[in-house]
Amino acid sequence: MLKSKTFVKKTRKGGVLKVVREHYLRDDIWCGSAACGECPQDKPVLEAEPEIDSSLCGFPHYLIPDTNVVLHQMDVLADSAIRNVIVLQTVQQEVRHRSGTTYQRLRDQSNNPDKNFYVFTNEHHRETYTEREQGESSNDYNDRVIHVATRWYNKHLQENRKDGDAPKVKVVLLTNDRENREKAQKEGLLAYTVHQYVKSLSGNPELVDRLAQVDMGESTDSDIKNESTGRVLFPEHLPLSQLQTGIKSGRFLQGSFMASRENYLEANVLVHGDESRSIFIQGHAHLNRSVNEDVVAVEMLPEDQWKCPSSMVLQDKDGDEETSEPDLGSPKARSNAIPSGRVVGVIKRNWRPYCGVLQPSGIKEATRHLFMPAERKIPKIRIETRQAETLQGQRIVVSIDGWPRNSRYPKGHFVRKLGEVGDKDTENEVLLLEHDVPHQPFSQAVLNCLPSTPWGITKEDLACREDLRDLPICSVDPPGCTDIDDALHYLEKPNGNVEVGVHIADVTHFIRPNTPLDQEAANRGNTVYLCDKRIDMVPELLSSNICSLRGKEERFAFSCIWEMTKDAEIVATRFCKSVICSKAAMTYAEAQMRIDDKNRNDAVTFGLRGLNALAKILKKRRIDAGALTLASIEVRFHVDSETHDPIDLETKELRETNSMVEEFMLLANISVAKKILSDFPSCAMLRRHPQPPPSNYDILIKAGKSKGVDIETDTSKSLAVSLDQATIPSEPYFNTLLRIISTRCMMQALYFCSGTLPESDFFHYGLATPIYTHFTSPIRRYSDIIVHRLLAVSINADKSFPDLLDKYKSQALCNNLNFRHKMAQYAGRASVELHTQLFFKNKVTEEEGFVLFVRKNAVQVLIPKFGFEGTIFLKSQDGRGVDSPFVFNEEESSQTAGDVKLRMFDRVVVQITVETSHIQHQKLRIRLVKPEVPGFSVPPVATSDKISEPPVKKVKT
Amino acid sequence: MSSTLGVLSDAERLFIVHGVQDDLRSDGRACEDYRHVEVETDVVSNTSGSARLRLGNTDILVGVKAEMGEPDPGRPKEGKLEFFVDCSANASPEFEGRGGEELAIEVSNALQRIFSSKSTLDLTALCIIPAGQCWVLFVDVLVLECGGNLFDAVSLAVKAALFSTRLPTVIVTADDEGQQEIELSDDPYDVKRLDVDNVPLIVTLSKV
Repeated sequence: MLKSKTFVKKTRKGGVLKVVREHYLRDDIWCGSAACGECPQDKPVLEAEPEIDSSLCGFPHYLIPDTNVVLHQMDVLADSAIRNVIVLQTVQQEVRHRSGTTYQRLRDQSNNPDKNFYVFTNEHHRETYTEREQGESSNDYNDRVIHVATRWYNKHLQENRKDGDAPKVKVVLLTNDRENREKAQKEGLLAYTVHQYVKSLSGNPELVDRLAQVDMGESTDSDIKNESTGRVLFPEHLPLSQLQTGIKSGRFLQGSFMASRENYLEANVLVHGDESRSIFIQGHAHLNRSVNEDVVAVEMLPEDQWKCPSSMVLQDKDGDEETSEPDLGSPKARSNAIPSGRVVGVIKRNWRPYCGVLQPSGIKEATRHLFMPAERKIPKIRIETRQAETLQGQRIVVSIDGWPRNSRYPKGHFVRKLGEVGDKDTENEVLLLEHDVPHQPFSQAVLNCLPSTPWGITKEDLACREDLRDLPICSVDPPGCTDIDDALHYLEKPNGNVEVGVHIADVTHFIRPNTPLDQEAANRGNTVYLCDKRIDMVPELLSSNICSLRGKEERFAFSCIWEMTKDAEIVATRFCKSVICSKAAMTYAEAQMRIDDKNRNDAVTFGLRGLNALAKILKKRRIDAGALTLASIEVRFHVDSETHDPIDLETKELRETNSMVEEFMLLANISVAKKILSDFPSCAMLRRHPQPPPSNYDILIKAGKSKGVDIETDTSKSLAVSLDQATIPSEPYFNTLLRIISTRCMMQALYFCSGTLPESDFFHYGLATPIYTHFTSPIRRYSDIIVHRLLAVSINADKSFPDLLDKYKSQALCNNLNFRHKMAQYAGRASVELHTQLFFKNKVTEEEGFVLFVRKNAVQVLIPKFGFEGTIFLKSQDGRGVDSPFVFNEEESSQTAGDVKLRMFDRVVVQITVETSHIQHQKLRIRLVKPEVPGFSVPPVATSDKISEPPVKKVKT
Repeated sequence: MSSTLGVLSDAERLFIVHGVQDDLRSDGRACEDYRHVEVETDVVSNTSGSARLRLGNTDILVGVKAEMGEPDPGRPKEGKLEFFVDCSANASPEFEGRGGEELAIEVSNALQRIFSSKSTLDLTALCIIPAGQCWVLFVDVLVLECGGNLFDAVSLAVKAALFSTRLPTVIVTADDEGQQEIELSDDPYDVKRLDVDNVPLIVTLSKV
């Protein structure tokens, strides 16, 4: 049967379009129930006798949720207790229209055979198709469609029972819309609110906590009271239509909301389309319920109301609904005021589930609790739970449901429990979730793409590859590395020149474009390294075995071979797919030993010496060109082999061999970048590092001046030179501190597609090279996989495919890779932080530190030995600190108490402990020991040194 | 007609004269009988209104497409009608090549003239925002077969198509700055129809 569906829509230009679609009705859509004896279906999804204990429905039943229930209560539906649900096509389409993420979750449920979710295409079913009536609103129409389907199911299941003795299965409609429910009940259907239904589930009381607190015209009496008497704390959000016209007319600006990590009452909005422009927002009312990463509309404030960011570190401490705001702005400092605005509306919320802990509540039986997210940029969330007691000391996940105008905090609901606070696995899970790192095990579809084992090289493989198995190839990596993706060789040629080869694991031989494996790797973007764990981009079989260039095993490689003079001038470059056999897989230390050991003279050692000599020339040339050497302290944890708890830590040492490998990798990357850009001018994937705007360096210049050192920042070359000269003999650590600060002035290096930017922007500032890409680590970076594919096409070793040459798709991929790269870095740092905390557990340690920044109410101190920085609060957080002896001087950024003055670079001694009084949110606490300030600093703990006696290791920087 | 009669043979002339005398035409009608008319509306679902008309052997298809546009500066409060006539080469051998063009222009000019009169159709009903936005109705006339009485047939088919035309209801909202936004009703039944009572029909007569 053919019907047509007609609707009108507005086009972007403002015109009106009439759209007509054919709509077929069928009589072969089955009900999906195993209890049905009529429908000839192979595998019914819905069980014949669904079991769930409900005091409201004491009979077997299926559930039909309406659209709003799916949209708001997905956490309930996703629970394993909720099974046998009929998802109507009408509902599914509407959900898809309203929220992509919820739709995806709904699809996941339908695809999970354990959940028994059946999608019923009611709009194509001959008996449940309903035509819209004249004068009916689309809401009413949808309600009616759902009612018709529900009624049909009830009738169908009753009339076509397979087994006459079995209890009748009924269908229960879940809707939170009162009108809809009453209408359904009038028609004789079973209809309840989700809240009624979930509360009636005697077997699963914990589900109640997952109910989202959204009032869809269902406000209970107490809520109404609250609304009428409660103070309105926030200005209203303007409706979307007004925001859009406002943005069109330029009255409002659209941008992403970036909350400040340090001060919960401050944020910046990055204006879309003009990335360099950011608007400062300060105070509750101006922030107006925005949450980090929301897309908001901002109205600029008149210039006389512009504020300047306070230099305070402020954490939201008080749990009450007070609105009193600490005195933030110093209105006198007009000169420092920056463009400020206020949020007038939210265009798109970017809420996700947040990890955190419950804030302990004074009243035990209370059901309303405050949730403290682990991410400091996210406000506390008010949730209702009856299991607060069992959740104490647990890491939990909470979703935000909404933020009413009369509530100080957003309202949310409990999603799930991760595990105990402080437990390493739980904390790892938290940091992976918080950084959006995909870390589920690889799906079967992905694993199916792997080559079968045992894997070996066949004749056909050899025919199309160069055989380089006889060359003295070796690899040099950090200890414990199992994903070896690069190897090197060095040969002297008869003509006096030398041949140097870089051999990279040929990952693209195994990861073919657009396979599930490829898509998964593209989504993951890179391998994430935590202190005790590695989240692979590709399955382990590839990363640690078939692709890994292990010693004495034959492997496929993508080789880049140069002919060079002995002065490291490149004479010729060629690329080829090859088969290699690494003669030795060494650690940096082993390689160094071989080079130093005069008695060894085998081909590999000879090669290492040659490479080392060339690398020194290359490095010098690079530094002369203005490449920067910046410092950041990296630490390694020695972990207990049984418990995997850190027992010791050391800062990473750098050997000559580290930089030897690095030089050749840089050289290979540059050579490949030139090659793919010349062959694919508009779709090469490259990496750029923009020069930071001069204002970024203000802090560095100021820091240098405080010690009488001038830092020049005009070019990377002058910066490198002035950093080299900035040494103070009496303060050996000064130079490293300066380098650490300059690292923070830098911009992020980014992947990009060459067709999207002018060639002048390709520059890599940090490496001082006009063009750069990533080619050398395809096992752990997806960008390298794309570069491999481009290079393979350009040397005719592989086929091209459309997506590879599409610059828009390529740029979209770059954006994901940049995001994943950033997140992987953050996750890695968070992991170090976590391990540092575990390390200091039950210890009191005193250590030397240096003042890195001086703030209005705090100083930030870097402790080089452990490579982390901490904050010493000098005043209570409201900033009025009458009790504090310190006086802040903004001009020279110093804090003075009596005759003690704390300034940048000052050496201090601090005491480090893990704050255990606050079990919910463990953190390192740092207290001042020296210089002594009466009434503020703590006395040194003489005995504690024994515990933390540092391993005798020189801190090399 | 007399000129045509001039080139007829005596036998043909006699046949016609006898026909007139006996009040009977070759197709069986009496002299003052009108041809048989068949009209069907809403035949093309993609249009806002449409009609198919058969008048004797003449076959016409008319589609009305409603779009938003700007009104003429001289008549800010009125909407517009645009006619386009296509004499398909299938309709008559004379239309082959560019043969139908002249006739098509003649017919569309006639229609334009008819509808430019204020009493034909209330064009102010097509106004959305005075001097800003209005409905523009594109009336496409397709002559599928031409069996005479073309003007009659076209006028009838156009009237029928306009009768069946449904314009979606639009709501004009103004924000605080006077910026006007047009919104569409989401109910497909919420439509406006045109009053075509005064749209004239053409009847072609010939005197023998």
